[in-house]
Parts: sequence; C-alpha cells; structure tokens
Amino acid sequence: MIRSRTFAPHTWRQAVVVLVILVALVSVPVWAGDYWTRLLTGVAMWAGLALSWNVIGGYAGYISFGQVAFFGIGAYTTALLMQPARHWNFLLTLPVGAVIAGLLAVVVGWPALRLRGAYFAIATWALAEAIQQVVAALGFTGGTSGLQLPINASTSFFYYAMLVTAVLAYAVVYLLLERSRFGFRVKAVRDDERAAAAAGINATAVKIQAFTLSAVIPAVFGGINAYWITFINPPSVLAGDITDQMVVMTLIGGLGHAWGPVLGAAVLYLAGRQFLASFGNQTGYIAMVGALVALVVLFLPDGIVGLVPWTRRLRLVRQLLRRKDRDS
Amino acid sequence: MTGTGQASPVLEVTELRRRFGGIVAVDGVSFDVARQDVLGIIGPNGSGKSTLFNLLTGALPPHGGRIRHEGRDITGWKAHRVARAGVGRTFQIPALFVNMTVRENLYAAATHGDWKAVPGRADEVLELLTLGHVAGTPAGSLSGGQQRLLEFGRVLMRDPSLVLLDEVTAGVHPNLRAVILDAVQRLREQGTTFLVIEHDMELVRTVCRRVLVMDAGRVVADGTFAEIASDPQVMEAYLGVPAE
Repeated sequence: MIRSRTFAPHTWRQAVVVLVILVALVSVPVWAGDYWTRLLTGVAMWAGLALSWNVIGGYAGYISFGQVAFFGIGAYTTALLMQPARHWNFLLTLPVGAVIAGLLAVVVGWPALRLRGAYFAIATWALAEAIQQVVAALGFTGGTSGLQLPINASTSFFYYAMLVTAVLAYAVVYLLLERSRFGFRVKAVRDDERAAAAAGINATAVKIQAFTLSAVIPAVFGGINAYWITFINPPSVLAGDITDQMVVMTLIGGLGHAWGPVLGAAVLYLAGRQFLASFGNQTGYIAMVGALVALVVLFLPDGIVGLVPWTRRLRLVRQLLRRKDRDS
Repeated sequence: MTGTGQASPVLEVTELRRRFGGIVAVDGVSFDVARQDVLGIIGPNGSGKSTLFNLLTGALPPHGGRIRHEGRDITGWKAHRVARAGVGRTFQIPALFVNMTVRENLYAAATHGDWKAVPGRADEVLELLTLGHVAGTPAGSLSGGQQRLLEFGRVLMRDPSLVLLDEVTAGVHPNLRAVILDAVQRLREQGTTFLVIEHDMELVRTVCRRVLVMDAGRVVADGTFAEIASDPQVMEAYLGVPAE
C-alpha cells in the first residue's frame, strides 16, 4: 500500500520561519525609523495587492486589468463614509468597501468570466476605465477635484493596518487556495476547464468565487490607503498603472506561487523608491521593470521564487500566453 | 435495442441529435446499456463517436432526443452535473491538470463528497493503476501512456456507475494497456458499466460484450463482435464496399 502523504511535508518548519518573520515585522516601528516604517507600509500594501492579482491571474488563470477598480471602490467607500456629514469609524468602512467590491465582482464576473484570454482582459480593463470616468463625472465623489479625508499622522497606525490586512489576506488565500478543496477546484479549472467539468466542478461558479476573492482584498487596501494618503481623486486610486504594478510584481515574484507576490512587491517597491530617492524620478525604474518582465517571461517563468531549487515548475506564463489559441 | 444485462438499463439514449451548422454529427442515435455491460462504439473517423460522448456527458447540448441515466432524465444537463450524477469520462486527447502532481490530479477529481476519504481513495487508485512511483510527479511530465492512466484514475476517484472511455489505450505501451484492461475488467465485476470508443478491433473483440457501429452520425449496426464483423453495412462503413 502506498503511504498517504499530507499536502506539505515541512509544515512545522515553514510555521517556524513564518513566526520569526512575523515577530520581526511586528517590531518594525520599534527598531526602524519613520522612513523605513513608511517604506514597509508600502511593501505590505503592494504585497496584498499583488496577492489579489495572483488569485485571479495565477491561481484562476485569467488576466485581469481591472483590479484597480476594486482598489478605487474601497478607497472611495472609506472616503465617502468618513466625510464629516457621515463620520463613520474608519475600521467600519473597510468591510463596506469589501462587500461593494465583492458584489461588483459577482455582477461583472458572471458574464465576463465566460470570455477567454485577451477578451476577459479587455473586459476588465473597460470596467476599470468606466469606473474611473463615472467617479470623475459624479458630484458626490468630488469629481476630478477628489475628496479630503480626516488626517491621522500616526505612521505606525498605518503600518500595522497594512501589515495586519496583508497577513490576514495571505492567510485566507493560503488556506483557501493551497489547503482546501476549493484550491484544487480553482487550479483544475485553470489547467483544463473541460476536464474540471468532467470531474464534477462547476467551472463558472468557481471562477466567480475566485474573482470575488481577488476583488475583496484590494478594496480593503484601497480603504486603508485612502485614509493614509488623506486625499484621493481618480488618478490617485483608479489609474490603470496601479493594476500594471500588481501584474509585474506578481510576474517577477512568481505567478501562481503562494509567496511570489510578496517577493515581487518587496523587490519592485523598494527598487522604485530607491530610484526616486537617487534620481528624483522613476524613469529608470520603469525601464528596469520592462527589462525584468522580458527576462522573466523568457528565462525565469516562475519568477524570483523559481530561483529556489525545490520550487515546483509551473507552466502558467506559457499557458496564459497561449490561452487564446488553446481555447479557440 | 437492449443490452445483454438483465437489470434496468444504466443508460437509455433515444433519438439523440446534434448539428454543427449544416453537418449532422449525431443523427437520431438510440441505444441503451445494461448494468455491468461493456459497450464498444466503433466507426470511421468523423462518424460522430466523440460527439456522442460529448452529448452524453453534457459537454455539448443536444438538439433533439433524450438521455436517461439510472432512470433519470439528464438531457441538457451541464457537464459538472452529469459528472456528479455518476458519469465519468476520458478524452480522446488526455485532458490533465498539468501544473498539479499525479496525486493532486486525483484529489482535484474528487472535491465533491467526503474530502477526508480522498487520500485513501487516491492511494487505492494509484495502486490499481501502478502509478504510485510517479505520485509526486507533475502530470505534464508523464509519458503519453501514463497520462492516459492518470486520466482514467481521475475518473475512478469519483466511483461513477457509468464510465466513457475515448480511445483510452491509443498509443499506450502494451504493459500499461494491460493495466487499463485489467482495471476495466475488475471494475465491471464490481458493478461499473463502460462505454468504450476504440479503433483497436482486437481490444473490442476481447473486452466488449456488445458493439455499436456508427457511420455519418447514425448507428448502422448493433450486436456482438461476431455479428457486426459479418455485417455488410459495417464493411461498407469501414472499407467503402457497397452492401450487397
């Protein structure tokens, strides 16, 4: 008889490593100055945003260019509810933004997830553009003038808010997609939808669930970010380059790998800030990102994670690029 | 037309039709299959065999006719509902979850039902199909024969009452072919019913108790292998010899 193995043989060792990292992260405001605390706040936020893109792009295999729409919805929900006329508690605004983003994902995902490859990417890009235009046109959102939020000058408050949200998001995504039957369903649909259906998996429902999960996460980060930066307008929270950042961070970190997004976010966010500090602009950073993406696609399809010898080799980049041909 | 078994049919197909534009791929096909039967479906390329499988498993909706499985009308059901009702299938070109290991492929095939029982069931299937030594190997790295075995194994994870095998031994090494045929025989004895599309006539002769011959979307012969081998319409379908 073949011995049954659990899903991961080194769980306890991983747990110890995660615990040490968590302790180090929790104590950042104690041993690091304001500058580094702010930098790591940004890393935590981008790690969470890249994670959300990894859910739909890496685990479900659908390229979405609309994730910024959910980020913006979270930001505007928090900003609107914290206006003096409503005066909501900041923490209570976050779940409201998440629910609105989740509902929008279900409504949009129902028809859009029947589209494949580039068609889905275009549909989600159009969603993000439409939301940006609508927000700019509406009066109660402040239009192009934007919205001011109450000021909270505590650096450590936003660091912990981003960190806790990122850790919770990683824990939920890890448990759902790496440790539960739902994760098997999502990855089965990604790899072969016909075979998944033949195995009793309702592919449409699974894709909508994954898309909803990938929408809820950026909405929460959008709410925290709005409070952090104290002023929002369409270009600051609904610009397409926010999604682009999520995509390249995931690709460079490791598409479809649990820890790829956090690695990609850390490397690219810190590099971007370094370029800004050294040269006063990010032109060099953008050129570097372009070169890195090309190199990853050509030579390192599993991203930075792929440099670890025991990382499983996935075929996701090839699969995503060839998806249109395969599905047509 | 009734199968060779004595109990009520596991599958009843009545006047099933499917068109693709002006081409009628399945044209009024009717047959039924008794429990524990192994029904072979043969016919030249383009005769409608794989389309018939797609209709029976919900991968394609029919344009007419009825499908009953275990007495229940499953006509027009989506593929995942048909699968959950107890119909399993393999594909002409193996459809695997290539980024998962062999073991994970088996787990993914059984995400509905008792999840705690899945590892044990996977062990049984790995042993039955002699895939234990590649359990941790990514499915995309398997040989063609092993891929067919794994796809068959995924079907078995669901313990279906009816299994549709589409050229499951095509291009498979004789040793692995024997493993598949042995598994079919053992499962049939335990109550599973099989529909088998095959081009290997020796396999059809030895495994299938009854054979359906399709040509141009229609059933042109139905009987034992000896009966269909001497049928002039079958000779015409395969060799183009006019029926006398």
